[in-house]
Amino acid sequence: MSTPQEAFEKIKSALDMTTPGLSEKVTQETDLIKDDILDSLDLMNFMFELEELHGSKLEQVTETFDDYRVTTLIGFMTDG
Amino acid sequence: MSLEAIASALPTVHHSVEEIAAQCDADVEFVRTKVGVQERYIVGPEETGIGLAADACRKLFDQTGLTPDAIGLLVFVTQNPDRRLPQNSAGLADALGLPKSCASFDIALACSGFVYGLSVTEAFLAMHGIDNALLVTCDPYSRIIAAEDKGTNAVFGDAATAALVTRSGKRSTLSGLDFGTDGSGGDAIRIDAGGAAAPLVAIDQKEALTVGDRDAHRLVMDGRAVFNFVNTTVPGSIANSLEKAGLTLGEVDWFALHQGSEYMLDALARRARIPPEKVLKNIAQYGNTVSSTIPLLLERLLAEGKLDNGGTVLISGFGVGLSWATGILRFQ
Repeated sequence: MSTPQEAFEKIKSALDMTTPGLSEKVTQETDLIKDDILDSLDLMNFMFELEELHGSKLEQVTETFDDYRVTTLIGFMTDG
Repeated sequence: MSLEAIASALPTVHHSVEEIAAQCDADVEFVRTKVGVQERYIVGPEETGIGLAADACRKLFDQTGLTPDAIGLLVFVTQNPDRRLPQNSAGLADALGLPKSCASFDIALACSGFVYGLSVTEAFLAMHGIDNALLVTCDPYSRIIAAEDKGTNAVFGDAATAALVTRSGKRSTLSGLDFGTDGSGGDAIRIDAGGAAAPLVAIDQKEALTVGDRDAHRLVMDGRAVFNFVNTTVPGSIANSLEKAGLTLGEVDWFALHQGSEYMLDALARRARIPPEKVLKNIAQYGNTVSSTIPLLLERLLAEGKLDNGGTVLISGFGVGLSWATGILRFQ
């Protein structure tokens, strides 16, 4: 389980692995979809990288999931 | 055993990237640069999979000088035959005038189907002493896609290919085969109804045959699940294939990987550490043509003379199932 700061760093790393430099555009308040950070194909890549860094699947992010705020993802990664 | 020649046929309905994007309310630049499709062809109302496959086979006969009576085996790779029964291979054998002594059967696989088909064809020729085989692919996904679904309509196109495989030819050899299946992920690419478990109509309701829910009869694809499958499984299959063939990545001249989307292809190449210049692509011209993507790539290599002095091509197909198959073709 990550601390909130560790989770945020993993999210930024996964963003940079998707597109270099992307992490500079996000804060914990950013919505990765609504704020046009990721398109649908980038999102697949980002989630793949994030789950690898996290070490397990984020079960809450299902096929119909649509809340891609950074703070929401941090919550999933720190939720014991 | 040798893959000797390949021909293809495209259906008559052409779509530009602008037309594709308009059909499914997608962004043109997204389809062009991320999905990677710039144009594609789909079957028209009067066209059939057997008809398109017959066109590809006739081109192959013209190219090789072979005649139908020289064919002892026909293998048809498709998951969307023209009718539930009989199998497409029987209809195609009739359309081509193949001898009634010709063995024929369908293989119900999608994106891994050409690699599986090549292996099965070679084994069948060797086991039964047959000289010449046609390995055919044609899976017209346009007939099972909802136009408004950008996740599928912006990706797929239709095509048919026909490959000549011979028992005594020397043009190429196939080795390093690696196969796999993960049925637990099968829901990632699916059509829920139309099979025996959920028939198209309730045939025992005599008063009114009812067509089920439209969504149950269309292709559904969970892009993220497919992306994860490809990037976790296929690099290992490629490594296994190279090891079995006694080759290193650097000794392969070209990589003919299934063309799921440009984005997926590039991500896979990075993860498998394949140099980008060795990755063959045709999704821009045809879209994802399912089991036809790899033979279309090989057809172009052969037509451009890039294998005239020999060459090594890694072929890898992966998708519906989830199923994957990888092998190495070495051309003399």
